[in-house]
Amino acid sequence: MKRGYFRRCAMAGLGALAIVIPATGPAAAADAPEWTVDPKASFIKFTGRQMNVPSDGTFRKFTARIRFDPANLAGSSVDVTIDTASAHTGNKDMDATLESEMFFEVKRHPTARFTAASFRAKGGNKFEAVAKLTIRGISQDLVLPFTLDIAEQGGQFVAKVSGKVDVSRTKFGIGRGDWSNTGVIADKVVIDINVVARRQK
Amino acid sequence: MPFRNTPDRFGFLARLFHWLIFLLLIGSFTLAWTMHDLPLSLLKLQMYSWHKWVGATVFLVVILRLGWRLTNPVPAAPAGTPGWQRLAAGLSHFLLYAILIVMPLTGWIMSSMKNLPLVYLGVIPIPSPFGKNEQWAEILEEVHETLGLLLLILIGVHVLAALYHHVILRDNVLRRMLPWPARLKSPGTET
Ligand code: HEM
Ligand code: HEM
Repeated sequence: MKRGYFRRCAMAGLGALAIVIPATGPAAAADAPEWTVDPKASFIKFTGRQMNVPSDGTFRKFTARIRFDPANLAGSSVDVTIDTASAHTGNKDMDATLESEMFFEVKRHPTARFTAASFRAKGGNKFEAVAKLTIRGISQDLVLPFTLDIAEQGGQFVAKVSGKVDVSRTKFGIGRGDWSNTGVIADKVVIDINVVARRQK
Repeated sequence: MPFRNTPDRFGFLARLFHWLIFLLLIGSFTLAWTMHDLPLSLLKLQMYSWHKWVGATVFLVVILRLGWRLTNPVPAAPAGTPGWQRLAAGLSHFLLYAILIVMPLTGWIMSSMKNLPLVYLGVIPIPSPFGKNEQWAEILEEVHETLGLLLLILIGVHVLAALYHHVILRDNVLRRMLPWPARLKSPGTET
């Protein structure tokens, strides 16, 4: 009777474990702490070239949900939503063209999205994000190398992230019709990311 | 064919500079007027670049031309030219040179302000130190266009003066600037 009871308990325990393990899954890592982006100190810049003339611009509006901890990369994740209509180059004609259906087509695709759930430490303050970038509804995988420096300031952690990556604009369908001509407008666009984010200690 | 100027005629190099700039300006104005009326397109951007390259070349050639001028005698006005005409010629030549220097500079600075900096021949980046600035770009655009108009007026007067010398006064003034080595009339053969 006693043995029977013990056995039943053990079986039940194992059974419970068997249920619990798949429920938590292999990503048992806890979520990394969340950071709040300082929009004034942060920017997403892009630089394209036509006839080798560099023209740059920034996305003035974006929101980011960042969970990051260098010591807990498995629990880190980044999700950035960019307002495509906020692309600003300092040249009205260019801004209007970027908004048009030839480029971002902001009426149909008001946002672009960058998500990363997998990070690699590359030594020191260097990291890589394995990410997915979606523009005009088209997703491409990319690896974003970035540096991260965390400092303490007034009882807060302040993180500075900066990274740079080349993307192929035509793979996202950016520049249609005549504008797809990569002989005049380079296919390569350099994206330059500089983010300052804070969190309470 | 003397390379250098002599007291009574422009040498080969001075004439080459003069007519090279003439051809470059035809190209520059043609491109400027054509590109102005185009909607933003590949062709417009290409024409902008070509216009800038031609304009920057004008600047280079004018600098070389002025350097050469400093080291050469400038042929004198024909004897008997009234003082006001000498003054008008000197002043208009000075203004022509000044505009040919200032126009490319305004174009260059404006281009960077419009976020389309000059990359000479698509190879040599020459960004201006002033950076992007939409308001100032508009002011410089006005200056650039007004100088263009002024340049055209001056060239008109200049051509009329040249024709006046050639057709009415029948002197050597046009002949000595012609791109090919024209034979000069010797003094006293005028009728
Ligand atoms: C002597 C040389 C030059 C001449 C005679 C010249 C002439 C002109 C003229 C007449 C226009 C006005 C077109 C119009 O709107 O009606 C123009 C526009 C323009 N020029 Fe020049 N230009 C010269 C040099 C340059 C240079 C060196 C640059 C730049 C590096 C430049 C950049 C521009 C730009 C960007 C515009 C267009 C403004 C706009 O409508 O957005 N130009 N030029
Ligand atoms: C693109 C237009 C032109 C420009 C910017 C221009 C500019 C000049 C300048 C700056 C000079 C003074 C040379 C010096 O003393 O260093 C000059 C001389 C002269 N140009 Fe032009 N020119 C132009 C077109 C023409 C044309 C179309 C003609 C002929 C019809 C012409 C005829 C002459 C003559 C005859 C001289 C010699 C004047 C003298 O002997 O003192 N130019 N030009």
